[in-house]
Amino acid sequence: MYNTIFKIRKKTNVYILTGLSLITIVFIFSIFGSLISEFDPLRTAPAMRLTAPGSIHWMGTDDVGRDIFTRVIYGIKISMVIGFVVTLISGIVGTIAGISAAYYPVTSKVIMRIVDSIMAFPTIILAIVLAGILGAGMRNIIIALAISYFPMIARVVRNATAEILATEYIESVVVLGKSNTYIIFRYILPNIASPLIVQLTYTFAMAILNESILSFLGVGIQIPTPSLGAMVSDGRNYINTAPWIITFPGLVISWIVLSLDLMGDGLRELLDPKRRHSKLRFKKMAILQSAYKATETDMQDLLKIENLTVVAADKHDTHEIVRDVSFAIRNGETMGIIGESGCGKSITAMSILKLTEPNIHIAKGYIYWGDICLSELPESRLRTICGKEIGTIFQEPMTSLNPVFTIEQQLSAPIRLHLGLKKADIHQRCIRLLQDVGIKHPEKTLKSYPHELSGGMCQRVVIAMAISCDPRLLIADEPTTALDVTIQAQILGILKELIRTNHMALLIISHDMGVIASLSENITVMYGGEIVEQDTRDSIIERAAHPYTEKLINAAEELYDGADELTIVRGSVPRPGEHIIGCKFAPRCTFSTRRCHTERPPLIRKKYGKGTVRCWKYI
Amino acid sequence: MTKQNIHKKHPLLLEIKNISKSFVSKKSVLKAVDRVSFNIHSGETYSIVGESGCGKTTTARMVIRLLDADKGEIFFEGSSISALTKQELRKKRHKMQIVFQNPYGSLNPRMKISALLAEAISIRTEKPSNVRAEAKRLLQSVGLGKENLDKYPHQFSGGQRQRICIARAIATNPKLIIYDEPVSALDLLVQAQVLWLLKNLQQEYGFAYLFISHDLSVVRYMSNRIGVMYNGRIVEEGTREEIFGNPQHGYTKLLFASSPTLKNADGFAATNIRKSTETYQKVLHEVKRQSNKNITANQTHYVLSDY
Repeated sequence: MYNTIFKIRKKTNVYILTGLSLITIVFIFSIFGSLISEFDPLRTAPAMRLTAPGSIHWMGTDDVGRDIFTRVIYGIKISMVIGFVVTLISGIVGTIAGISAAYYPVTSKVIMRIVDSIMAFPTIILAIVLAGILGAGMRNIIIALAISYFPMIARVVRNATAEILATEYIESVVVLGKSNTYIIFRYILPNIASPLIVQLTYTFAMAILNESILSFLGVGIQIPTPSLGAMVSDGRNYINTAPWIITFPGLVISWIVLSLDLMGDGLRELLDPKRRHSKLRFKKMAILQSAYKATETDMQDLLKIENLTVVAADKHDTHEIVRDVSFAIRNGETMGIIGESGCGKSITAMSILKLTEPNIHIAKGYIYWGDICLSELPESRLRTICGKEIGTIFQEPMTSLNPVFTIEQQLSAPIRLHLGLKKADIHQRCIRLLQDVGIKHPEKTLKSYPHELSGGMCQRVVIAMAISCDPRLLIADEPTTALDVTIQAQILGILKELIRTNHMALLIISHDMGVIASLSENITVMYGGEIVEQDTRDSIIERAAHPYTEKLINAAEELYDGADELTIVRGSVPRPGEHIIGCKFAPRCTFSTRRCHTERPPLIRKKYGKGTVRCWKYI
Repeated sequence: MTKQNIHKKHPLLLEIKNISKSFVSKKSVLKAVDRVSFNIHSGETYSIVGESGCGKTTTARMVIRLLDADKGEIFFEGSSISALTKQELRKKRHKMQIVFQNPYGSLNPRMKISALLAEAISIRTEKPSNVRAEAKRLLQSVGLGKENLDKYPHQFSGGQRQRICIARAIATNPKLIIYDEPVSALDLLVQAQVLWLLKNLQQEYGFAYLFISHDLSVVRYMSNRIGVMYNGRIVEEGTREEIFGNPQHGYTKLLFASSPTLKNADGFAATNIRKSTETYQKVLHEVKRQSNKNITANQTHYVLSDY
């Protein structure tokens, strides 16, 4: 089990390494220490009492002359045993309780009530009380600590299990008719292992720390057994005259707890990739809405992208995910980018406003907005430039809206910033915007919160926000993919009308040929991060030049027209970072020659018309 | 005509009689599925098409008993499965399998492909002597090489994972396979590959399919018979030719009008502006009021209506 977990990401983790080496040192001392030291941890030697650390007594002696080094070594052993047994017991009990709580709703109520009521007490207080009732001694300490710690584990396990029970792979095994025991051992346990192991590491550390506290308070390990906590307790009276008595055991406790915590932190980072990427979309939206009044440009091209190359960097290397992309959009023009997932179409659009993930950046090329070079601007200035001029719509309407504000608050914010209207005028404008996107009861909608609206309604609001300051370009990234077809038809209709009446330019990105065809005059086809063909809509649909475009159009037409047989294009799109020397489509292309596999074709102008194509067939 | 021939040749496999399901929350009762009935004969594909929230997935989950119906009965091979206990049901599980929409969530990430397939093979009534060889054969029948047996799910693309899910579903030798939006997470060219595979497998093994989708063109390619679902009801049912050649119900017509194609591209979005938005809402509102009266257009074609 451990092996598979660590195999997932091979990168060595500095926390784990540090923690592991620190704890190994302690282990080695506790095992071999008794060989080095010739003293008995329990034998008193009044003559030697309170000797300072020196060559005979490395850590000095205590008030009855016992060798502290020897006692620390035995103390570590006891601490480790307690830590291990407590972790084992609370781990087993917690896991069983957690899984049964997640599995059986009735049991859940009983178990979670017990867990909640135990967790209502601070752990250490509970442990002290329990140890007080049960009486001192190693066995009782273990029981007290296990009772105090199993609720936390139960809770972690229950949440992780509930999450897994909701996945489709659980349903797919239920359908196979497998027993619950099988599902628990093959499906649940391997998948909750990561959070569980992390929690167990912390429990280990806490158990050792709390044993020390209990012993220090006198309800733990009994004198004269050497326990680290009891030794600290002893040393307290001599803190001024013989500070070494308290110092060394104290240091060792800190050492052990620190190394275990480091391991826990490291494991958490190693096993939980989710922790890192939690940026929400609406943060990005907020970036777009900052104030700026741009000067009018009378350049013909509104947006111009020149030789754009975008790279993604991970820890090992960087690879190109968009390569050498160029296109221009004029005032009032509509451009559609079509391609399959991973072809770089969204990355291209996101790069325009630098909305890509932090590890993705522009390596080469320029993006011009009129005569301003967007790609060269620092992010702070980019925000002030783009706010008013470019509107954006993303795929998921729900994540584009902030759940804690009303529609009116969100819709009026950019208007107030950019247009500086009076309050009453802002309200009027909001109402008009909502009417423009086909919302019947704008007053009522303005007062609503996003969760009170349907997905289609939310997307209308997002569109209204995007056009609220009369932008000259609207970027729509899969604007209807998350919506139903009847709603999609309405949204497409609304977009089409808005473009016409507001004289906006549109950059629409989609994997759906029908959506692209219904909204764009020009179409750019992307494959494997490159542009493979670019032309007017009619040329693309009726006279596709690139074999990939041809296959794509053909597949769409066959499906739309209800063909009885579908033409199959074998293979799949190249993965980002996959190294293909020649044409990226060559491995799947029926026309490919040797040259296609060895040399990358350039983007050339088509013989007829204005379009361009990247294929050796035409050279 | 051809349809009726199929009925004569193939026995009735699945019979759904008036099943309903409501979800009750503190504030409201949502009728997810409302008096739905349909039949599936062995070897045929019956599709339910509709938009999100229409109850199609809930129906599929009730058929395979991942959910229990509030009312109504489900007969599989002539005997009722709605009343079976969990133990009895387990013994019948291998006859009915399901493939889900999300290829990234339907495979246990901690198991190798060989183990995932072996697990499904193990519930057959007659177990093969060499499980690994059988797993290899299954992988090949969905178009994946045997070198993939010792890989983990995360090493595959979406389309390949969906193939693995399909291999797992056919591994139990089922009679009926339910597909819940099996291709809607896939790219167009991969969609075509998977749909083609599904049809081929059906011809080879004679499975019956219950196919759930929102995509009319996909449904058109796959189905023998189609039920159009809206608001928990099946509003129209007929053979593929009847539904696509002669749609009767307002909602079916609306669905057809809403799908963009390449041919109507120019006019499409322009016709769907606000005016038609209102007609849409009118149609949808009317559908909600309709009663449970079926009018028959012909022997295989039914329309839900109140006139």
